[in-house]
Amino acid sequence: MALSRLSSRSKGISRPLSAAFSRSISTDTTPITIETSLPFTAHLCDPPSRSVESSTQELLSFFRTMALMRRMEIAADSLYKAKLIRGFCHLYDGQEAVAIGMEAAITKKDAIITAYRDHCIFLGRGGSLYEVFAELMGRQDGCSKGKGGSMHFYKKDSSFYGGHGIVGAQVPLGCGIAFAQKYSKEEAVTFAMYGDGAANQGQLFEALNISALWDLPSILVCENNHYGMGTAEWRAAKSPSYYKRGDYVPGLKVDGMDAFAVKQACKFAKEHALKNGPIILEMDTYRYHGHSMSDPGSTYRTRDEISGVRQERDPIERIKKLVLSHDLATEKELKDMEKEIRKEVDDAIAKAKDCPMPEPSELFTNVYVKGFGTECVLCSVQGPLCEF
Amino acid sequence: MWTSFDVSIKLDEQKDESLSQLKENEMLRTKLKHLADQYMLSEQQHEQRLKQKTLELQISELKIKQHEEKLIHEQSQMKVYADQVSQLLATEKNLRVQLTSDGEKFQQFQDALVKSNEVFETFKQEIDKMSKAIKELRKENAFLKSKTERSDLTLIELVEERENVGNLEAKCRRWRRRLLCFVSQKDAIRFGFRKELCSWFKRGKRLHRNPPTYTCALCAVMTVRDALNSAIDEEMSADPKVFVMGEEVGQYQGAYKITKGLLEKYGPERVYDTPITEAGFTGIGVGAAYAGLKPVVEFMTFNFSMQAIDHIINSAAKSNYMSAGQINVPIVFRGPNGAAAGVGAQHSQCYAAWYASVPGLKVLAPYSAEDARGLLKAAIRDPDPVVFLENELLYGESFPISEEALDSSFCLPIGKAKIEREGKDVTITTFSKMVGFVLKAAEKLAEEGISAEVINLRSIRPLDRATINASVRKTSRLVTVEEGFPQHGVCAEICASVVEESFSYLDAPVERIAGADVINYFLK
Repeated sequence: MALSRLSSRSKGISRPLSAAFSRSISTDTTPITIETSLPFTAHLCDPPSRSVESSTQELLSFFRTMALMRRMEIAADSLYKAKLIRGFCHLYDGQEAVAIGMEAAITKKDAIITAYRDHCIFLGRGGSLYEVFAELMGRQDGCSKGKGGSMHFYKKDSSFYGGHGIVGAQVPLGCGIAFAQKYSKEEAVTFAMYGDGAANQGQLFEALNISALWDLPSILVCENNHYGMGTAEWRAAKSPSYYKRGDYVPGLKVDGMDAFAVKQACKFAKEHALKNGPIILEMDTYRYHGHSMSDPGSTYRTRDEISGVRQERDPIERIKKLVLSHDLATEKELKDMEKEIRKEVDDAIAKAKDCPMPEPSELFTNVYVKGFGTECVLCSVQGPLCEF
Repeated sequence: MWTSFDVSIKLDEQKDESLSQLKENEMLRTKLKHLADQYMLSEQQHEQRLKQKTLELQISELKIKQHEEKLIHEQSQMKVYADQVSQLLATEKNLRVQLTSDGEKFQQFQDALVKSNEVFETFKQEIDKMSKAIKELRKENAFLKSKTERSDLTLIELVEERENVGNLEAKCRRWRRRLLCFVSQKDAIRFGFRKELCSWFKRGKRLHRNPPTYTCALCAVMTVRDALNSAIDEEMSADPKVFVMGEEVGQYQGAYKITKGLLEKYGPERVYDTPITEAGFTGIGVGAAYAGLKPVVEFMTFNFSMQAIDHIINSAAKSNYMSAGQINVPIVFRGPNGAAAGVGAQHSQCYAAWYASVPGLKVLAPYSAEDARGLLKAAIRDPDPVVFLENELLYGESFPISEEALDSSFCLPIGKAKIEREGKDVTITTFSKMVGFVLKAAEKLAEEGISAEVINLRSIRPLDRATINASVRKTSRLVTVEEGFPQHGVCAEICASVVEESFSYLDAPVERIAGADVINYFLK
């Protein structure tokens, strides 16, 4: 830690103060070593070291992207209350560190599949704010052309396979993607993300059994935010140590509010999965909003608990403190960055509001890839049936 | 001389004078005081009056100021009102202009309406002409029909005679070939069977891994089991992305021996034995399909697919739609469907209606070996999820199979039914094992003089409504047959489709023959 401070300070002396902020984002790759907040707890494997290699560019990009994700989720909250977003809306604020840390450790060839709390993962995989808001509001420029909605974001070119509404179904699907990666001999892994509520699903253990039998490069990531909808984990699971639930499969417990711990764990898991088969990562994280927008989030937990976590463990605050302590930017510069982010989000929302809804004929497309479309059964008495 | 008495009297007089002067002085003093007080009072009064006057002056000045301000305020208000008035005048001008333009547009509309009325009139006249022409044509048609009916009858008689002759010839040939099986080669040549022998030896080369058996040299015969096995084999060798997954498909050679020999030929990288965890391995199959592979997932029976139905429907069928075309799922779910012999209630349900109601899935149900080969190859090549419903009791049955169907690129189109037997009195639609029963029933009906048209659906989703409706329009009666439960079944959908499309052609209500609306009985 001391060494890193020295290096950053010497760099600080050499660069002119006025251009410090703009230069540090674009070109600076000075290496920094950061200690994770808590040690890793391991099951059937050796935990990785607590020192994480990073750089100033990465640190600032973490801050920026996490602030963007936070702002996006809060904007989605207000859009939902204004009835522009309808149906389900599950928000990810508080858990941004998991998405960011994972992205930093992997490439776009590694696949990610998750459940319905997918807005920030999609953003991390390279999606744009405009696509997110357009899809949430059901417009035709959304990432699924308005046909998927909040729970069904996909980005196949970055190997993001969605976006699934059925709790626990994404885990066997993720193991299947890992199977395909092994079958096609790509040196890539799949991260199948699920929550503490889904960790008790039977199909998860079925998929884990097959992954371990066939040595599939699948990594099961349990985002343990301690509440499965409204049920606390101690009421749902006899054994809430989800990283140990794999039994014969190694596991690692990680502080999910520390982006660098997540990054280290994902890097370790990728190396492990490519050599030895499946591994479980449990991310100890927290969500500030309720389960979805129809859940206030305060009937099953106290406001003190929520504000306590926000004060002590908030991931963005942690990164902010690191940035300030390493003299990479001043308070004012970070505030300006946040204002810029706010403006970016507002612009994306305005642009998405202007986007038109999908054409009515889009209701009948994409049912099949090859032919047949939809058969129009309720057709006129005279004519033959119409097929699209 | 003055005496002291005089002096004293003078002194007294002077004293009295001085006393009286003192008194006068005092009186004067008091008067003076009084006057002075009066003067003070009057001065004060003057001062007060002066103050009063100045205050009054100030008040009057303030009042003047107030009046001035009011004046200014009213002047500004006057200006504002003047501006508003000018604006209103401007808007009035604009509205007047718009009114004139709208009046012009209205005129134009009226002109257009008049023109369209004229056009409508001409159309009406033409339609009247056409309807008259149609009436005349109909009369001619009726006349010609009666003419051709007579000639049709004679034609039909000729065709029947030819058929009979042909049947007799075929019977002859068949008997000759059967005879060949019981006769040695030397005797065969002696009795004149040279032609048949030559054709037999010509076909002696192995056409296929599992060669069809020949009972008559005219056409080959194949079991459904061999047809399915050969189809999977050929597709696996053609596309390295195809792989097979299921319980007992590898080392056990398949629970019903459909996947026999595949593990030895392609190795454990292409044929995967799974544990008995349908939800798990179906999910893995669908995930592999997301990533571009082409899995063929076997369910030991489709009753076990209910454990994995969430993956078939929510993860496979709906993905292409929810992702607007980004993620397609080229997977095939296959296995025996429906009742087998005595397997009990939990192993005997027919799932055709369940899966066929889901948009995004394609559901196929083959009957003969040719159906099985062609449809399975089409299903494996198809980029959408396909549910392939086989039947356990059909696996061992042999069917004749043409040369064309034995070719490795043979494929049947999905969504097209096959007319197994032509007829003109009643249409019977069915699929899978029931086709065999219905064909036998049709022969019995033919003895009674009723000619039934039998349609083998082959594809439950998409249903070949065109073929069914064309057949119903020909025969005017429909009987639908299926093995599954009657309520909300495939028969119900066909009935609804026919009622919507061809209601005026039906001479009688549609009859449904389905499984009994009870849980499947053990003994049958």
